[in-house]
Amino acid sequence: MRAARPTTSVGAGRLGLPVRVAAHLWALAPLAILIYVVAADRLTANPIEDVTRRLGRDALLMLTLSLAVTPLVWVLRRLASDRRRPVARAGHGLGSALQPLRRTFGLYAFFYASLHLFVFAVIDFGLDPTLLVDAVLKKRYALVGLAAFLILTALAITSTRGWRRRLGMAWRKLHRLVYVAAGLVVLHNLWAAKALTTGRLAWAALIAGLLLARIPIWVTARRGLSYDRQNSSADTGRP
Amino acid sequence: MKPLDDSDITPEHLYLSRRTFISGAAAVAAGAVLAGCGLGESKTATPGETTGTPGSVSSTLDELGDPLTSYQDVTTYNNFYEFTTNKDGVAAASKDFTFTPWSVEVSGLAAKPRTFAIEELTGLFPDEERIYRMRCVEAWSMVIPWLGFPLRKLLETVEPTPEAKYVRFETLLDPEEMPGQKDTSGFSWPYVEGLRLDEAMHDLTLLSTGLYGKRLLPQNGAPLRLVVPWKYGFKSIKSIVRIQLVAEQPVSFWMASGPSEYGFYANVNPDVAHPRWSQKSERRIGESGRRETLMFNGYEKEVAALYAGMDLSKDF
Repeated sequence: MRAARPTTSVGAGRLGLPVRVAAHLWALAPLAILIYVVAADRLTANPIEDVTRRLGRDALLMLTLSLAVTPLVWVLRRLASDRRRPVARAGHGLGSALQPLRRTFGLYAFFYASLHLFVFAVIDFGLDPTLLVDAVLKKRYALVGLAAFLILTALAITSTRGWRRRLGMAWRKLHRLVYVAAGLVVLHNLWAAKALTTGRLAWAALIAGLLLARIPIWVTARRGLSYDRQNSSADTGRP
Repeated sequence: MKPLDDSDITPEHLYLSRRTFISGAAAVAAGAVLAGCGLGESKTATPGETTGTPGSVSSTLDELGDPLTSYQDVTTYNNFYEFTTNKDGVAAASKDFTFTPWSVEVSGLAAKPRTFAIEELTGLFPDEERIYRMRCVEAWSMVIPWLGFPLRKLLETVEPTPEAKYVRFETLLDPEEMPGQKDTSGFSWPYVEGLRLDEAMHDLTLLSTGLYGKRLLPQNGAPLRLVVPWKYGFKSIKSIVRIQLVAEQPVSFWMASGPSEYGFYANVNPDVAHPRWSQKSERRIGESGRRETLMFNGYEKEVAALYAGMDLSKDF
């Protein structure tokens, strides 16, 4: 993806810091809510299930946010490129400030997914090997969830600048696995449900939409058109 | 146990509506405070404040020595998709459910089919208390002191004909009263369940009208529900309006929605896996940790003979 730029994004400008702070606050809010709900004893009568479900939902939310960054930045830059006005430059600056959040939210997705798995395996099943084998290896929803977690783990480990440099072009290929993880997580969420409720289907559609939104971005990149060249073609009125 | 009459019920409804209002107002106030802190997780009311207090029970343990699940948990953690798929939201979503008047049609292959008003049923068949384990297919369980009468007594009253092989049960169909029935995307309403006739005639099979010494609340299936303790909880159909004696095996609600996941028998069986929930163990509500799931939910001695010679991994 062309929209993937180094996390030390140039041009983020003054928006960089506030955007980062807002993103961390947003990403930590589910944890704060969970701590409050546990401390105030407001979980359901089945507290372990409730906590597991909440953490899974939070991981899914973070992954969704991470996947939303690239299309959002792409749209912002296209909008910004059409006009030579201060508001357009602000849009471009915002896009640059948002780009690093793909990694931020991706890491939070891994964080919540780790807690989700920890509660499931350690607190719920007490790491009982017999029960865990039965509860994971024989359940398709658990298998796809575990596969998604392994992908997220690999991506989280290699998310540092050092790993990125070391892996070179392979890094980009490796990190495309996030799309596979997203698909697996959607399956996990649908298969874990007793019934295909509207909410779960809507979330699956949202993730599918975010993945499909990559198609125009790829197509643009394949044509070899940089965003800047598009700018000039827009200016001259040519396609 | 003496059936409760109107004078026992009415004052509590008044009392409840006042409590609901107060706790609702408190929740609104708390919600406002929390929203100010950026922690706006709203809940309609604190569980327990909408359900009143339990009546008296004869024992606080089941026959295996396990304690009863608290009245609060029994009345605030429910699966009742007719109202909502949120287990902790059923109590609030069903609090305005109207179930008076209520009648139950008992028909089909019977010599004396009849429709009973709910008051007739409680008059004809005196309350018995039965402390049963309830094992949900979602791998959680409770111990509940039910009030009710054996289904057998009702079926004997209408005299099943020799052609009757199964019993088919139906929940009320009324999307206005049961808003969950407006969601028809994955489900075909009304909820339907079925038993083989010998299962229905078994002494453990209960038609329940109450729990914890009181009449059923809407979230528990008021005013009349089935309780089949050796089967997964979804077999114990709620808010029944029709009981039919039939010749063919009925297709239940969950069989129709997921034939590979839900069979007709749905006996609690730790050796038959479900695609989602491990059935080898369960969480007992109110306890931490897991406990082993027992064959036929611990009622093997009483019911195993019903399934002699059957392959329970096929007839799951």
